[in-house]
Amino acid sequence: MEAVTLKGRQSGFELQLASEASLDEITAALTTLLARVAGDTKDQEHVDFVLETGDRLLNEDQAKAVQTVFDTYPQFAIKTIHAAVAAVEPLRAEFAAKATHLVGGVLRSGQEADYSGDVLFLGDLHRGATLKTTGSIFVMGQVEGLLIAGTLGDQEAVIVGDISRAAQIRIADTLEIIDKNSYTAQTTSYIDDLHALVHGKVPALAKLRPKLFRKLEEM
Amino acid sequence: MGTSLVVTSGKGGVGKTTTTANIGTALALQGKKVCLMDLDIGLRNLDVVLGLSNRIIYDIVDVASGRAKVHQALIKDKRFDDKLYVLPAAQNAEKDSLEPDQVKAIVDELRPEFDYLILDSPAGIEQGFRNAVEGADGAIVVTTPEISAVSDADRIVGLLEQRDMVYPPRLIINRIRQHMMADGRSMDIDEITQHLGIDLLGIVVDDDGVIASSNKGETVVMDPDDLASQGYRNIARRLLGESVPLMNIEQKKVGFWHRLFHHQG
Repeated sequence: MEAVTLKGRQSGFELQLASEASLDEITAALTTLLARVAGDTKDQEHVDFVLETGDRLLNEDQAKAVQTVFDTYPQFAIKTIHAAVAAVEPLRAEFAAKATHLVGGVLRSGQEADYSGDVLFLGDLHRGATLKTTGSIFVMGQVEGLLIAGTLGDQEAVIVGDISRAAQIRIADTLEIIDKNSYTAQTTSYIDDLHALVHGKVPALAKLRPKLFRKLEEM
Repeated sequence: MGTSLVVTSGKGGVGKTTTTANIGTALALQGKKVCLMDLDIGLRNLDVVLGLSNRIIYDIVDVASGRAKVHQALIKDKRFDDKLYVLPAAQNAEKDSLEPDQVKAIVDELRPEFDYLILDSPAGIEQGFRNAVEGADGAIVVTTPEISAVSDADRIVGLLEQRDMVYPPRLIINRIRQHMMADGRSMDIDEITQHLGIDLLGIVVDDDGVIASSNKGETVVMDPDDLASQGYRNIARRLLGESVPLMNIEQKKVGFWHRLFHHQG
């Protein structure tokens, strides 16, 4: 197995840095490879490379070491560095931001629960309590407090379930004070094309927000 | 070792002080040694409803600041032979002149001598409330069948649940107007209990006798025939571990002949 392999792709040139090889081996192999390529190309045409690091994440120093090799050849540049793996922590945060949280128990007057991602609420939200999240809220418990979806301004966020006894709902920058008599038991509340907070039937959600139903596929 | 309980409600005027005085009296009548502590600094009135205000020499702030020993400040209620004591609040001190740690220290000092220590919390959720809760093993939440009182009680239960108390909070629904509850114009007992989600300790009807007796410096519990008194007595028995069924508060239908011959004008 070579430490560095050059591949031609439809999108351009790709340099595969073997994850089994050490960084010294890679820089050495890269130096000879770039020297050969520079000798082969007669004109000084500019070439961009995509670096594929496989199962290795280059840290800042390692990326700099690789960059130094390229610095000798002004006609060559690194377009991007791409790896097949990712660090756990940022991934966890990203996952948490996209996950659906199951929230239960009783939220009492004056209490506030704040989430990122979608929330499936299976508890009681008392009058004066607040449930808010950056994503959508799906309600199965009894809600008499305040529901806020899309706290960071997500226009696609929805509130689904029985909101007939809620005090108020907010999605992104829109809000509605709930008039106790004008809601059916189950509704989907969303922001429509005219940027108004409107309500529809629950089965309509699949057409309104198809992305909600393909979350895992798009992750 | 005595158990300390805080009587609290969030909202004012629901009957915290009356409840404290009556439960204390009822427990004393059952032969328990009880100490009532008023934590409403600046607006003390537990001593007033018990008719003991003229006997105050030192108060709780004097004790906390070391000006007096706790036994010098305790007032004995002579009607209940050595069973009922009151530690009065200060009247001329700042609201924040008492700290939660000081209250806890006083409670712990008195604990070995009493069966029950009942702390009367002021309205609100500020310093006074924190003081009262700090010294307590458990809480009695008082509410009335009004939406405002229930909403405040909900807030209080939320705050109490955040603290790790020995006993979970229990509920008293006070000032129940039977006719309004019967015709559905006020919230009913099940509705309130279910909403707050804590155990019901007892119910007390709204009764003229409560005000009349406290104006005389007595507690209504001393009158065994009064309906509110029975409510408080039942609560005391439940605190002592007896299982007492909830009293029936449905009003008897007053018939035509009864009204004719018992005309009250």
